[in-house]
Amino acid sequence: MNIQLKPDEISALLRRQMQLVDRPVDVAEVGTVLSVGDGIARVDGLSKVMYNELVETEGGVAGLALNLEEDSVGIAILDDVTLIREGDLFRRTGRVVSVPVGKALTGRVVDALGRPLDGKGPVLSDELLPVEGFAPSIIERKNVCEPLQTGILAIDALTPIGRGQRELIIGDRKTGKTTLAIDTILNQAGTGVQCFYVAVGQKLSTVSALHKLLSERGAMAYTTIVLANASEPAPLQYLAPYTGCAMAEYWRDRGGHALVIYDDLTKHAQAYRQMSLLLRRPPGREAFPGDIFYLHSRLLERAAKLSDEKGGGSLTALPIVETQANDISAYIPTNVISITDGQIFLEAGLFHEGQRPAINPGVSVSRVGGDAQVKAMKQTAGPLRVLLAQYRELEAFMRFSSDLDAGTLEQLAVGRSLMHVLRQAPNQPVAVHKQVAVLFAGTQKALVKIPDSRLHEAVTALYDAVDTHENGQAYTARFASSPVMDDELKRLLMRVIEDAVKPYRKG
Amino acid sequence: MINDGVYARAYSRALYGAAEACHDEASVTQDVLALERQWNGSPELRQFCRSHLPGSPRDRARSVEKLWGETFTPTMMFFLAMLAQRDHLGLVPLIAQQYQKQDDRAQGRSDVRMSFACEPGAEEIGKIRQLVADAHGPVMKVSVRVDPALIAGVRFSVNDKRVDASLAGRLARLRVGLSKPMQPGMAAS
Repeated sequence: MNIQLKPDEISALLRRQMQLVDRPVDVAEVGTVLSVGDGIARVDGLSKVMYNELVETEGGVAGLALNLEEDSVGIAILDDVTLIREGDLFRRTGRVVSVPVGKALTGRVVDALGRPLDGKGPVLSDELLPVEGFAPSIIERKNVCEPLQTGILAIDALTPIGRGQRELIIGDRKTGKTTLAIDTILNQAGTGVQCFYVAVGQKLSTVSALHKLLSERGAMAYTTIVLANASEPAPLQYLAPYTGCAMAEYWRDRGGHALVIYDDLTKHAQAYRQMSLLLRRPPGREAFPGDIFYLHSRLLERAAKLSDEKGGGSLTALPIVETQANDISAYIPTNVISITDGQIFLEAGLFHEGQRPAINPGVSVSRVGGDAQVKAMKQTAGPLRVLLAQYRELEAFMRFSSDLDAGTLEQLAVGRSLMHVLRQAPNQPVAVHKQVAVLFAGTQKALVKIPDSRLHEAVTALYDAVDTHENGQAYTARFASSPVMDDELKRLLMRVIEDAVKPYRKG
Repeated sequence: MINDGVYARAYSRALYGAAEACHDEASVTQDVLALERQWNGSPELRQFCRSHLPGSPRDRARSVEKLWGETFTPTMMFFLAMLAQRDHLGLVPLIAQQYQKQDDRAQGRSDVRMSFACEPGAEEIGKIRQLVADAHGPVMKVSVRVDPALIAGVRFSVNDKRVDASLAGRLARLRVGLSKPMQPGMAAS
């Protein structure tokens, strides 16, 4: 690349920058570092410092004032802690931690302070928002009423998510939690929803692979990644979710729609526990500090659907929590379950059986998403939960008895076909009208006579038929104008289903 | 995490608390100042305090009593014996410093420290004193020193507040400011 350096421009830039930073007299409130270790500095002085205020050393190392004690201040260091020595001075900045927000962040990978990590140059944003924002009040809110399609049939049918909702994704490690979140981001293409993926305590290789996938699929055009990886200091891991939330709030408050994924809040809680113990705050259950509930509630309360008077914007939050041995009654999972508007529980057993996404429909719920569900989906998915529950009961019974009546056998076949319908390959979100078509085939028992070995092919053929079949195209057009399962839509769909699955039936 | 500074703060708080409880703040403060003078003036005392005293904790306490005898108040003697028992006599100057800060705060006395690049005139010191008196009241403790590292100008602090009008400070600010990326709206800029 041929770069032409213009000395005049460079000197003008330098002069301007010097004017910005040059102050003949500097007045500051300072404090002296008494001790420093494990990312925490104890400082004598700074008697008027505010809680959560950003402080910095003369060398520019930033810190966060967290413990305001009678005669000292506990500061969480946000940069390289090795640059700080005993006796160094910390000075007040008079402002809380703020991060750049706005369009400039789209497609970028930034750290918890909004500094670029992707080598694409500085984030050119003129607007800053404090990371610790306030949740909208009651009168500023509205009920969740618009769907946020994840493109995952099992979720959109059983635990629908609405814009402004907080839906927890919970499960053991390696059960597909992040995949669900990424699929949801992929499915937001062309919907106007700005996505924010907050990686807390993740491996860099994992986030790199994820960034590559999103870039390849064009999803970085509407996505920002906020990264505080496992090697970052605990204070940055603690800040990252609030940073992502502040960036998403920018869109919510301007009438836009944003989706923020916190991956994951277990590691976030652990980072906060580390900080709290080092700050000598009293430990409670599992050594977490007393305000661990508030840590997550104040974050998730910022997700909201705003009223029309406030622009009607929304911020949807998908927090992720990791469990140990499917135990959802542990401290952090129960806390976050009680804060959110529902949870999607991923089970390791189902995952290993090949039922992917491994969503356990019995434990997964969405408390408010039903109001936002697409009407046709609501009508079609109505009997789904009952049918699956019956199937699970009979499935257990089937293991002890081989002599079953015809009715029971049919119920089992329906259940099996429905479980198959709910299977979906990763990173392949499906449009809602196709989801309805396949689900309709399942609930209308159109897939019952297809052998298990050919169910996958039949479902794929049905997906294709919705696009290619003459009646399929008519169905798609009618669905787009009015997504309600009326008689005409059902008639069109039945014709598509019959033609698509007939070749796969037994006999 | 627990270093000498942290210990010194804890000890100074304890000493101040004990002095308050005995209504003996003035005498103990005098003792602290005397002890600091002795420390600064006597290399033998510094050597004695910094070395590990032999024997049991009780023996160490006795050797302290032998050294200072009746010269200090009982509160101070008890405190020094405790330091000796814990092998913390080397913290005396830090404790004295912290104690004086605490005493200044309690008395509403401003701690004014001035550094000049070259020997200041009485007029310059007087101006700064006047500025501090206008903002914080007339009760103040002033220390003045010459620091050629400032290159030119003056740097003074009043309690937590620091005013830097030195050339060295200005250059340092320029260095930090120019070493940051040129971009609007950086959180830690």
